Amino acid sequence: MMKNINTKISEIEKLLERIEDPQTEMEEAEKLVAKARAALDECYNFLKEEPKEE
Amino acid sequence: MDRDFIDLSDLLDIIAEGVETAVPESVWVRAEISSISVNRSGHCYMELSQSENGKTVSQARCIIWANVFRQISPYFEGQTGSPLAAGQKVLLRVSVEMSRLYGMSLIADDVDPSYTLGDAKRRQRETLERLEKEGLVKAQRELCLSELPRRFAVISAEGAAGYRDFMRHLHENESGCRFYTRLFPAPMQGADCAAGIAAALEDVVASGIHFDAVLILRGGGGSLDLSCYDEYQMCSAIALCPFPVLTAIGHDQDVHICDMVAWDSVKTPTALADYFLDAVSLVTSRLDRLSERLKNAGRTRISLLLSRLDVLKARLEAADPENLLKKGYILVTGDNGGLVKRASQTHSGEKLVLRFPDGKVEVIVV
Repeated sequence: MMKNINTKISEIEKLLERIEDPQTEMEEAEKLVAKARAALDECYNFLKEEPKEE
Repeated sequence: MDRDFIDLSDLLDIIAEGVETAVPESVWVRAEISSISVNRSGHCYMELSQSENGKTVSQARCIIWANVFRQISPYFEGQTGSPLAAGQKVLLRVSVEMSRLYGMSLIADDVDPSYTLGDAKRRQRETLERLEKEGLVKAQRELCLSELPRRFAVISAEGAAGYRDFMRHLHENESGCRFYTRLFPAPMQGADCAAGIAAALEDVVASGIHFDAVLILRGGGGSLDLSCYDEYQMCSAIALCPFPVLTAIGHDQDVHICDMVAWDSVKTPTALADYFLDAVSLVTSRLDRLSERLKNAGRTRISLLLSRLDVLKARLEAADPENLLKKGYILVTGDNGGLVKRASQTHSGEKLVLRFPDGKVEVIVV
C-alpha cells in the first residue's frame, strides 16, 4: 500500500535520471526502465483505487 | 354565604380597560421568537420571549394578521435574507389586545429588520472575541493537509443540493481518481444547526477513522439564514477538531466565523470539490510527464550514442591522411618507406616517393 505518492514520484524521477545517464550500461538501463514503468503503473492504480478506511 | 362577585366577562373587561389605559398606542417591543407558525388563513402566530442568564423571564403570544403578514413577511425576508423564524431577535411594533376568550395578545403590525441584522452582527463579534481570548481562531492552522487529500468526512444534510453537487463533482471527475467520502448528517440551518454540526464533528472523531479532512457543506442561503455559522458552539468545535476542517457553506458574500477558524474555506461545495481535483490534476500531469519521459528514454539513449559516434567519425575523418591529400597536401616517403617530414632529412640524388590522392610519383632530389 502506497503511503505517499509524491515519494514514489521522486523515486521514478531518480530512476529516470539514471536511465537517461549515458554512463549507465544499456543492460542496467533496461532493468531500470522496467522498474520505473512498474512504479508509474503503481501510481496510476493508486489514484484509481478507492482509498481505504484507516 | 353572601359574597360580592362579578362575572368573568366583567373582570376581563376591567382588565382590558386597564390595559388600554396603560398602553394606549402601539409600542416597539424587543423580544426573541420562541416559536412561529402560519395557519391556513395566513395569520401568523408567534410566542415571544425574553431570557436572562439563559432563563425565560417573560413570554407573550403575538399575532400578525394575514393582511399585515403578507406585507411584512416578504419585506423582512428581502432585507435579512431569511424569513421570520424561531431563535431570531426581533423588534416588533405591537398593540395590546385583551380578549374575553383568548386573553392577552400582542398584535404586531410592523417589524424592523435592521435590528435583527444588527443582533446577528453583535453575536458574530462576541463569538470572535471569545474565540480569540481562548486562542482558538488559528488553532486549525497548526494542522497539515495532506498533499493529495482523498479521504473525507462530510458534514452536511443528505438531501441538500450543495451536498449532491459536491458528491457528483468529486466522484464523477474526468481523471478517474477515486475518493473516499463518509457522510455525518447534520441540520445545516435553523436553531439546531450549530449544535448539530458540533455533534457531527464529535462523531467524526469518535469514528476512529483517519480522515484527510472534514468538510462542512451547505449550498446557498441569506445572511441571516447562515447566522448559525457564527455561533460559538460550532466554531469552537471546528477549531478543536484534530483534522483540517474545510468549509463551503454557500454563495453568501459575508465571511462567517466558522470560515475564519476553519483550515480553509471556499464559497461553494462545487468549488471545494475543484480544490481537491486540482491537487489530483497536479499529480496526474506530473505522472504523465514522467511517463512520456520514460517512453522517450530509449530513444534518447540511442540518439546520444549516435551523436557520440558522429563525433568519433568526425574526429576520424579529420585525422585521416587521405583527407589531407585531398586538400592539396602531399605525403613524402623515402627509399625505406619512412615519412620525410623535413627538407633536412633529404640529400642530393635520393629517390623519394610523392603520394597524391590519385597516385604516386617517384622523384630524385637534385
